[in-house]
Amino acid sequence: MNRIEFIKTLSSHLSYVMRPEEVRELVDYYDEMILDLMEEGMTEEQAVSQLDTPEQIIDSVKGTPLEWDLPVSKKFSPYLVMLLILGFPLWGSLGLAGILLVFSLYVVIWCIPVMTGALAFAGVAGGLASTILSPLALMDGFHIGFTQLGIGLMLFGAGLLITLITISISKRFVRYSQKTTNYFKEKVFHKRGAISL
Amino acid sequence: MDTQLKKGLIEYYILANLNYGDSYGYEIVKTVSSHLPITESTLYPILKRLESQGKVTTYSNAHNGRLRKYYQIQPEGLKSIQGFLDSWEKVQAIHEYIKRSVEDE
Repeated sequence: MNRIEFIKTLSSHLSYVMRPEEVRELVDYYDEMILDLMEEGMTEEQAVSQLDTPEQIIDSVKGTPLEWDLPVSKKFSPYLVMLLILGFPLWGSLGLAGILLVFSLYVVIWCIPVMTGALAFAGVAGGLASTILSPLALMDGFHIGFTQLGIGLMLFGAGLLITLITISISKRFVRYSQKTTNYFKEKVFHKRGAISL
Repeated sequence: MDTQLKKGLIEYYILANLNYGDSYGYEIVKTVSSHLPITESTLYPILKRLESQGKVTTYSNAHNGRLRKYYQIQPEGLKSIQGFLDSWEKVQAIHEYIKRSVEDE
């Protein structure tokens, strides 16, 4: 790997986990190292191979806490506070509407697994009851009891099948929900989401 | 040497190194490595920390047509070295205690 490749790999990966100034500082540091090693008589390749690989560097960086100095104004001016209070009927209701909108999205998303879950429960419970109680129906005649046993078993089987379907789609819906949550989190807080390299 | 012990010593070694004179990344790695093996990747977070704690400051100087970042010790860093030296008696007492535990056996 040559110097440019090294720097490119490092900075492109780091841009996910650090702020731009931090990336620039770190890349400058390693660039200086490479140039100093080359001044000692190493070739570019040798100098780069002397250092940790970009992957190792990224790993070590991820372990150290980043320093945050976000520009947060220490005090709210009384004027701003008053404006916030007076404006509450406006921004409060808008905010609430937003929250409810998000909430309704989750309700809609989870409608489907809840429905299949209900079907599964009905199938399993009804099937079991019908199967277990079918001997009682024998009293009304063999053909009635036998039919009930058959229907019970069928219901039970269908219930089990739908349970499996519910489990598999629930997993998918959990993923969807997490994705949606992350999306809103990023939108609202402008935060770096959990990005794995 | 035990890695925990090494971790604790490196910081003071770097500060002492800078107290001998301002230095830059590669030179610091070389100097420190003569006693405590260290890689560039280990040094970087330590330098960053020392900088954010106000124990060192940095400045750039032209060298062979490029800029090199130099580290300079600050009064806060000197205080840190002094604190380390002052705690030496305690370290020695602990050393004695550990040593005796082995000798008594």
